[in-house]
Amino acid sequence: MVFGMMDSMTYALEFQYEVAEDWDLRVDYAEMPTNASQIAIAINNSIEGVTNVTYHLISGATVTSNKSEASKQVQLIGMNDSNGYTGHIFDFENGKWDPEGIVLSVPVAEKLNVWTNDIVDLEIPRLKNYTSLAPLRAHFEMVNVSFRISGIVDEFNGLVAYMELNKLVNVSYFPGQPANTILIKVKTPTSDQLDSIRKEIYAKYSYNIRNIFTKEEQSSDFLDLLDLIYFIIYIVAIFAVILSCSIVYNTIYINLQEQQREIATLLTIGTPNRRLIRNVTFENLIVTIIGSLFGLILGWVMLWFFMRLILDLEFFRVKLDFFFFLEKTTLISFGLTFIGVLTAQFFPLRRALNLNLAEATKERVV
Amino acid sequence: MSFIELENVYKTYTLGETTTPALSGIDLQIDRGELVIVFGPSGAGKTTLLNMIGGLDIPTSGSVTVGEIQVSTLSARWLTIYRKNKIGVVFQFFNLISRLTALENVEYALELVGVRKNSDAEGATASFDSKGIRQKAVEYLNKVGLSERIHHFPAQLSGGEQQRVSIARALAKEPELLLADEPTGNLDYKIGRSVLEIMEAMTGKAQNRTVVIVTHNEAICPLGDRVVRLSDGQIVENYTQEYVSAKELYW
Ligand SMILES: Nc1ncnc2c1ncn2[C@@H]1O[C@H](COP(=O)(O)OP(=O)(O)O)[C@@H](O)[C@H]1O
Ligand SMILES: [Mg+2]
Repeated sequence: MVFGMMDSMTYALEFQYEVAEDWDLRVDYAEMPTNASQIAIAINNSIEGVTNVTYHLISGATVTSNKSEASKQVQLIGMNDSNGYTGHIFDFENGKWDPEGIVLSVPVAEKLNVWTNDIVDLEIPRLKNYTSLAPLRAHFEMVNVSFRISGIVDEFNGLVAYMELNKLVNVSYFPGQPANTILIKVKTPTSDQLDSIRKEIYAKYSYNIRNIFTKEEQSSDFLDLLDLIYFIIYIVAIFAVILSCSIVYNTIYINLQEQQREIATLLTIGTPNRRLIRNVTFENLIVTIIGSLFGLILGWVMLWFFMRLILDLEFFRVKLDFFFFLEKTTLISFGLTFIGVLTAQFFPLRRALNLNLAEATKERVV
Repeated sequence: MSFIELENVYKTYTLGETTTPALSGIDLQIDRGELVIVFGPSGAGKTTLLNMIGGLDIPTSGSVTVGEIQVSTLSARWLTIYRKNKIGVVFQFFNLISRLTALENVEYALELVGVRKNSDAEGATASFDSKGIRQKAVEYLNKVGLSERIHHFPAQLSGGEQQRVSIARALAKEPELLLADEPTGNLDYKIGRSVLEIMEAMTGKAQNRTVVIVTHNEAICPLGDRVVRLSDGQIVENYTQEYVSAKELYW
C-alpha cells in the first residue's frame, strides 16, 4: 500500500518536473537582488543559447477566509503574467490565471472551504523601512490584504499560492524589482550546454548567488528525498513483517498446541499424515485469506491517514484514486503472509506428527 | 497361531537421563473373538501394552503380531493404515472431535476407510461409498442407542453419551480388534455399566470381534473371557474364566 503511494508520489514528482516546471536552469539567491529585471535582461542578451529569462519572488503568507476557522501557511509565489510565461505551466482544476486575482492549490482551498471567486485574506510581510538596498536589508510588519480567487490548481506542490509579481511587489512595498529566483530557458538544454551556461553565469553575475540548478538536479534532489522515505518505509515494513510473522507464528503455534489432543486422536483412528497436513494447511489458508483482507483494509486506512498527515505537514500533493488496490502489493503481502503461516505451522505440526500418540490421547483432560 | 501374539516385548521410555521400564518381557496370546481384560494398578504398563497392540507405539524390543501382521516392524505409514483398517479405539476421555456432530464423528472414521476402493489389498474388513457411510454411521449410532442425538455436538452430550458415540465411531468400520483404555474410568457406576453392556453386546465371539479392555477397576474383571493382570510391566496373572455378562455384573 505504502509502496503504491510512494510510486504515485514519484510519478507526480516526475510529472511536475517534466511538464509543469518549464525551465532549464534555476538561479537561487542568498540575498534578494532588487534589480532582477536588469539581471534577467543581461543574462538573456549576453549569454549564448539562452532563449528566455524570468524571475520569481517568493514570500510567505497565512491564508484565511470568512468561510472557515482554518488558516493555512503557504508559499506565495509572485510571477510574471502567465501569458507566454516561462517557468510554470498551470494545471487548472478550476478558473484561470488572472493578474487581478490569486491562484490557490486544492488542499489550501479545501482546508479553507473556498473556491473560485471567493475572497481570501492573506497576512503577508510588508516592508517598513530598509537600511540597505543591495543586498536588501529591511524591517517588515505583517499586514492583511484581500484577494479574489481566480483559479484553483492541483499540482505536486501542495501548499502554494500564485499571484502576479507586480501585485505582490506593490502590496509588499518592495523596492525595485526583487526576486529570489531567476529561471532560464535554454535553446538546446544538453547537459554540456547547461554546464557551460552555468559557468558563464557564475563568472559574470556571481554576486549573491547561492546555487544554480538544472531541472534534472532539482528533481533528483527530490527523488533522493523520496528514496530516503522509501528506505524508511522499507525498514518499517520489514519490522512490520517480522512482527506480524511472529504474531502469526505464535497464534498458529498456540492453536496447534491446543489441537495436539485432537490431532493425536485423528492420527490414532487412522488419519494419514498427509491428509492431516492438508487439512491444517487449508484451515490456515482460510485464516490467511481472512487475515489478509483485514490487513489490507487496515493498511489502506492507515495509508489514508498517513497521506492526510503528509498533506497537512508537507507540500507534497499526490492524486490518488480512492480505490487503488495494487494487485502487486496485495499479492506480495498475501504471499508473504502465507509463507509466514506455512513456516509457523511447520514446527508444531512436525512435533504433533512425531508425537507419541499414546501420550497425547492419554490422561489429559480437555 | 493366536490372533494376537506378543513375544518378549520390552518398552522403556527415556526422558533425559532417566529411563523408565514400562513393559519388561511380555509374552501373551489372545485368540480371535476373545474379550480380554487387562487389569493392574496405575503405572503398571497397561496403556503401554495397549499401544503396542494398537500400533500407536512400537516396542523397544520383542515382536507384536496381530492377525499375521508384524505390527512391531511396520513403518509409520503402514502403522497408520493398520490402525485405520484393523483397529477401533475407545479412550478414557472419549476424544471426540469437538467441531463435528456425533454423526460426523462416526462418518469421519468411516470415510477414512471408505475412500480407498481397493481396501482389500490393505486388509480392510469393510469399505463404503459415501451413501453407505451415512447409512452405516446412522446404523451404529442406533445400535448404541443414540438415534435421537445424532446431530448433537460432543459438548451437548453427557459423558456416557459421548462414550457411546466413541464406541460407534470405533465399531462402525467393523474392525477385527477393539481396544479400550479405561472406557468407564471417567463415568459413574451406572453409566459405566451401560457402556460396557453396549460394548459387550457388539463384540465378542458372536461377532468374531476381539476386544481388549484396560482397567484398574478389579470389578470389571469378571466381564472378560480372559484376565491378564499386570504389575510393574510384567504379567503376574493370566487366566481364562467363565464369562459373566455386564448385566449381572456388580462392581
Ligand atoms: N511417554 C512416556 N514417557 C515416559 N514414561 C512413560 C510414558 N508413558 C508411560 N510412561 C511410564 O511407563 C509406566 C507405565 O505407564 P502406563 O502404561 O501409562 O501405565 P498404566 O496405563 O498402567 O497406568 C509408568 O511408569 C509411566 O510413568
Ligand atoms: Mg493408563
